[in-house]
Amino acid sequence: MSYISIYKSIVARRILVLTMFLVLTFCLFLADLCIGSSGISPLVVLKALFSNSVSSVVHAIVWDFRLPWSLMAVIVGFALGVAGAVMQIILNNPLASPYTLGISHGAGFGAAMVYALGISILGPLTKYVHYIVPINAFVFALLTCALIMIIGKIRGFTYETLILAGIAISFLFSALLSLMEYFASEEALQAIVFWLFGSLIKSSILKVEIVTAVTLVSLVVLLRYSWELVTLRLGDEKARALGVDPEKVRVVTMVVVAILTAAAVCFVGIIGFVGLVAPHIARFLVGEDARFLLPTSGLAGSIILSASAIAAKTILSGAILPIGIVTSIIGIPFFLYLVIRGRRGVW
Amino acid sequence: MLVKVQDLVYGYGKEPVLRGVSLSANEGELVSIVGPNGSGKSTLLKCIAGICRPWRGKIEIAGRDITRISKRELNRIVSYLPQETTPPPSLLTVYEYVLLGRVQSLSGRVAVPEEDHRAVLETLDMLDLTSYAKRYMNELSGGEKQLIYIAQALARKPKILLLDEPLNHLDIKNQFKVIRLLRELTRKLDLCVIIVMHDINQAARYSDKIYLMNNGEIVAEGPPDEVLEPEILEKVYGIKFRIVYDENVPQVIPIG
Repeated sequence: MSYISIYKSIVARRILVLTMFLVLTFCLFLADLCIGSSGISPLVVLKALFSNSVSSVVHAIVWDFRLPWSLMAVIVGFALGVAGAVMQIILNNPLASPYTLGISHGAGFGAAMVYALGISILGPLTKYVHYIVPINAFVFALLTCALIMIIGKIRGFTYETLILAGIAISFLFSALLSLMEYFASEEALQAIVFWLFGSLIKSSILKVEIVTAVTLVSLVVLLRYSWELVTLRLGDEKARALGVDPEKVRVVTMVVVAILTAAAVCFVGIIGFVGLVAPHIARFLVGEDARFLLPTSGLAGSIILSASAIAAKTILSGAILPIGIVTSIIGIPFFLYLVIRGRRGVW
Repeated sequence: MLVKVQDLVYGYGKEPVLRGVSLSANEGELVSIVGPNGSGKSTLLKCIAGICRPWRGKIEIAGRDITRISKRELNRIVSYLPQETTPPPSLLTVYEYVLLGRVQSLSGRVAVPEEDHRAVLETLDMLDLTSYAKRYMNELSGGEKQLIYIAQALARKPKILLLDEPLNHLDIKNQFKVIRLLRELTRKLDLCVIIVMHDINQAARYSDKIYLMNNGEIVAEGPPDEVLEPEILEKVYGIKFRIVYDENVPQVIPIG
């Protein structure tokens, strides 16, 4: 048997899954774009995308609201899916997610600081509040990663150390977040709670462009470590025997994942379960090969988030539910289904 | 000599585990390291694999000081198969598992070069494992998995193969299958194979040379019939042994 036939048959199914996910993501993106409370028909929405022959109100609704929201759902879902897959590999833990290292709590604290105290790392609040909250959230999300790096430097970058450090730092920022909530005014408290729910409604084309750029660069870097990441799944000792430095791979990929997650979270708040569930769906369908696992997990994240965005708009007529709530409601039963009915020994 | 270890001292923390160990092995030679638990066998193997840096002493690989060989180059010459402590991921096919043996050549690439494909297929073919290529690792028995681990170690075509207790957890039939295969590969590929093992009788039957270790030192070395003396074994293991000969091969019977 030639290697071509063996290898091609292994890879063919994965390419098929990846293609199907790409098509499904695009379909859900279009559906998300066309569904809304303003009663504009899908045809008019599509027309507004490609021509100026629609009213200025329709043009504004499509370009200023629907398009950034729908694009943000796709790209944030993708970022969280990729980040989750890498975290599960480097922490050797099926329950790991992009938030395991405390990034969500760090970001939450950073955002709450702006809302509650009116201060940010850039100084007192200015009129650019829409960008100061994300910047603060981004910086504090990365701060959690920096703290973990310090602990790792002392204790070694084993997955046990990283998980324990992540738990400790999550608790620290969770307590600080509660402190912010305690001192916040009623109005600020409402803003903090809304931010923590996770929502796409503050998206803009510029924010989409920023998250897209960070996601693409991160994906390229992570794909370069594909083989090393798969090797980590064999255990640190085996990886070392094969010539891979597991601690170095863990540090580099962890930093990339922290930047990727921070970029996604800082604009949309905390959207849970996508980064936990998407890698499991992807692994179930394409196996452990990180060259396929990472993009498939990303697309699974896009699919979950786009579908959740549609659900968020349609569950209650006339209201948009925060998407973070919807992903959790959909995600928990789905995750339990995977645990109970999933193929045995998938992890 | 392909592997030459001289007066090697190494330890964890401040306590030395290896206390002046010397060993040598050549092409086409199967060398066994035997001894009680904690005698330093696995640590010695890790030093030869370049994973542990010796405190004192010298290791030469193919005539060159190991400290002067880059990790990448060392990895091409020496293949080390540690004890399996982590079960392989379920959703990895045999083909992919063996391919990971060439991770250094694949690093940074998304497409797999033809050379790596060829090496994997040649290795699977040589071990008569081609029919397993598309199967998932969790579908294999313990004996089959051990053969795949050996295939992975051989996929980068090393000159030196280091194996840490490859016969553990295998039934008697599979133990024979694996050790016979290693014996055959040693001759066929002119490999230098160094195996850490517990089964003294398997070591006696299939090794060209045995190193008996105790408490971080080599207590005896040489062909099996010279090393396996009741007095030496009693000193090392603390129990009495009787030696019988089966087709000129010494076989050890512990009598308590």
